[in-house]
Amino acid sequence: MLKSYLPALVFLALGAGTGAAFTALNSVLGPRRPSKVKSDPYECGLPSEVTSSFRFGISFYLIAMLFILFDIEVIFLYPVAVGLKQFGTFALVETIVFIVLLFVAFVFVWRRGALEWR
Amino acid sequence: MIGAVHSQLGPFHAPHVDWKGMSPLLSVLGGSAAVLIAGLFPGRRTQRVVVPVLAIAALIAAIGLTVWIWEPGGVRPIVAGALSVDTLALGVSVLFYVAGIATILLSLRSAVVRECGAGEYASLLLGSIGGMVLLAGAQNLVTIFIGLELLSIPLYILCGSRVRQEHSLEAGLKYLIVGSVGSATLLYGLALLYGATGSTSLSVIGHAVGTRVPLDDPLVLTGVALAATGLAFKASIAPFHTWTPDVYQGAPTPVTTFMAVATKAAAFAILLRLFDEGLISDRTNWGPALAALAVASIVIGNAGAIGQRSMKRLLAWSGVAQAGYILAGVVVGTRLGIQTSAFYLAIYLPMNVAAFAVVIARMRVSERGDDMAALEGLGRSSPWLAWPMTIAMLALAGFPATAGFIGKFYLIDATVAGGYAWLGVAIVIGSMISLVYYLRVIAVMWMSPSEVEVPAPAPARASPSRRVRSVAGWSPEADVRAQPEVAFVAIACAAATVFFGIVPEPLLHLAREVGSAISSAL
Amino acid sequence: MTALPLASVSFVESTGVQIVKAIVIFAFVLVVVPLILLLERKLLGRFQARLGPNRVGPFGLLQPLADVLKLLSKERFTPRTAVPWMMAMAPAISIFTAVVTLAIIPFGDVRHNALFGASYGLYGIDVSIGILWAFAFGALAFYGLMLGGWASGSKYSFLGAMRSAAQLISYEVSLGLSLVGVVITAGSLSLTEIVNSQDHIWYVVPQFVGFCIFMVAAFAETNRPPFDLPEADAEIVAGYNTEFGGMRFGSFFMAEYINMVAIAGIATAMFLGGWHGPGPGWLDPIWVIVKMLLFVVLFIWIRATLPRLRYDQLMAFGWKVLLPLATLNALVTAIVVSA
Repeated sequence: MLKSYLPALVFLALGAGTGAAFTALNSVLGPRRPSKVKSDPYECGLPSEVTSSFRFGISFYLIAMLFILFDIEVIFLYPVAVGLKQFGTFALVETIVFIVLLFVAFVFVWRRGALEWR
Repeated sequence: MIGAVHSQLGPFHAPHVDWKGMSPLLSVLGGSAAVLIAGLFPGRRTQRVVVPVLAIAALIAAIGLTVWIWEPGGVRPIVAGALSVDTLALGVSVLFYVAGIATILLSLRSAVVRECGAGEYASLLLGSIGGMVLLAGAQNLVTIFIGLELLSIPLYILCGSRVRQEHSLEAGLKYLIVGSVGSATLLYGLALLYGATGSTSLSVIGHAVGTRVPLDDPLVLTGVALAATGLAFKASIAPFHTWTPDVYQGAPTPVTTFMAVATKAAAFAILLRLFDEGLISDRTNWGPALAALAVASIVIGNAGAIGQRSMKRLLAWSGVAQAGYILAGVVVGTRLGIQTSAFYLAIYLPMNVAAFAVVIARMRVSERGDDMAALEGLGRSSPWLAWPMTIAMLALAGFPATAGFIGKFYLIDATVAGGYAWLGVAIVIGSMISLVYYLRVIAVMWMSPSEVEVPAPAPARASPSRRVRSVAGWSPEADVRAQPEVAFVAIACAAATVFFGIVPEPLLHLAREVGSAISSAL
Repeated sequence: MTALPLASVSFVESTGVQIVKAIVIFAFVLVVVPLILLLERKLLGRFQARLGPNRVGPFGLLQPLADVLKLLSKERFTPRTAVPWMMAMAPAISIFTAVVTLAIIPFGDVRHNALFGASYGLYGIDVSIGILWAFAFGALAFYGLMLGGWASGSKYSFLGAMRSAAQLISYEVSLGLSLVGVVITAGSLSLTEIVNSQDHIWYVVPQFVGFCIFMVAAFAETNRPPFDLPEADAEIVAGYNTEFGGMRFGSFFMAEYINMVAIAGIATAMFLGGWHGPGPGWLDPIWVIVKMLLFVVLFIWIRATLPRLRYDQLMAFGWKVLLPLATLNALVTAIVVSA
């Protein structure tokens, strides 16, 4: 059984190898002429004043939290989806209840404006 | 064909779900979703009328359904034995519903509701009640934990729901951190119990401990100790009570009321379940430890309350002491002990709610907030608030002719009969100490010079007109008339306290039926 | 066979065959990607009434090769604000996740080969978690973009990274939900089984709504126009890859095209009946490739047709239209299939 994952390992190795090679090749093949200006971050010609720890919109955090909520919905739905035919009415009713509850949460989140991008 | 093999499942058997037995829980949780949606509709009317009415309707429906399925001695296993509905679960859950109704009434005009939204507020409250109901009926370690989290998480939010008030946020955060520590400790303990016995079912654990698993198995002992610690956090039993005064003071007062009575009842319900049902055979080991906790709570709670000026802190400390009294009933582990614990939880609700209702009524009109000074001269200025407070204080202290007396009487009786006479002595001594601060509150109300607080007409900023309709020509009863629901809660609870102090038999009968649910008790 | 549905794998070849077929699929994609690149530039040229690249080699066929050689000979530089090791990891992660996703695309069923006297499955792996494999690595791909943008220490990069983070997670939910309908209908997560269950009717017909949602979400997940806001060269100067040059930039670029191929392969298997098509059995992989190519052309066509969305439109569309629609689709499918 586990043996069927062997190609997966091959793909993992191929992917990692290709990625590493592409990342490293320029160090080998490319020239090397560093300069002060070249190592500035690109900000359309203006001197950079930005540190990477500046604050940014709260909307991103909201989206991240909502993502967790709804991704769990997806994660729960998959196992049920595979066996829905065998599980019969019980699973169907449970699924409907589950989705309806999530829908309540969705309506709430929507109406409270968490989905508006600000 | 070598091709894809279609996955085959064995025949699937849906677990048995007793919808009838679960109906009160479903009513509460359905109500939680319904008020959340109802709160979204615009308009002041929705916020102030529709949502509270819906929430109270869900709770009353739950009470009705509870009465419908009430069946002394009967046990309904629900959802494949993860949950059981017996008289203990049903009886205690009625307390949650009543506490919920009282909380919603008390918060009708509260600033919390405006700040966090009526729908959200009621939904969180109902969700928490749902967790409590789940906890009270838990027959399985996993259900215990889920119930506890469902109970706790909405409460963390509710404590911090006055987002513009620093002390409310502080309370929420403190409760979150301390509560999480408690949850983690409990979970660790439950995991060890599972490891020792190989089952998450309380009944299997009960059979295993003492037969398959030795009584002093280190895993069991550590598990019991950690579980007791975790639940002690929730029940605010000393020395795990340190969060209680701060959180009670900082949280919005209606939420404090709810926590003081409902959370305590839920925590004790599960203490009864876990120790007097699941682990009763190991009583020789946990009995002395819990007894020590009970004494510590009685001493620390009463000592802490003496110096308090803030009514909310005072009630918090008194709650710690009262938790010690109730724990004594758990410790003895006899049927009488369980009955008296249940009885005490039931009467603890009206006495505490009455006291908190008066505090709420005063906090809305007085500039002194929850300070004891806000009660000065209340006896003369508004006796409709002073009397409930007086009765509540006397009952908490255990005066005769109040329910508190009957409760303590039976508790002491149970401890003596159960071989813990010294615990009974501790309760008596604790009650005597508690007279100091309970009577001080009464003295402040009735004996201080009536310094009638006439709200200054000039500073419009201070006029709490939005919350309390300003009554032209302020009269002593103004705050009673302006917030009739608060006065109603206070008076009704005080009346119940007196009624059950004089005619305790109906409640005792119910408590006996509740106690009969735990068959393993001695 | 009484194996659990989530742990059974239908068929296993010998070790050598497994390694060889993995390498073959990988090599095939590595060859195809430059061709798609050329195809895109040619087609875009035609859409815009010009010729596209036609100087390097016949019909410009060697243009991608020239591009890669140019990128390889560039200098590698890192801005002084950057976190160098993270900047090195980011493109590698992107390529890695893109390549690994290829493993589950089925090019054909298990069939007996008379020439070699053995049976082979024409796919990298056929694990029973199937489509979850793609989601797992699709979710990891997010780290490539995020790390790349954040580690650059440049504000445009950072904005691009935040945008792509929010965009990817927003559309990931819909992407996942859109396939629930197919999974319910097929009763399996394995891609080969899903293809096998389409021998009567391709799921694009009964699951048309799911198909549309999947395609829209797929555009967003691969950062293809009109959802290419993470790169949006006109507003945030190529976003998360502003500070990348040489083959590191090329890695992101290539990862995008490999992802496109992978998504096309998944869409083919989930909705277009995979290898099902008229003709003898040996045509199966050809059918898959043709269908995948159709999707690739669709990707390019849309790029030439639609303007880029505004960011708030993008978010609103993902959450307020796609998500409820996908949920509803899953719900309706569940009811229809069970009833």
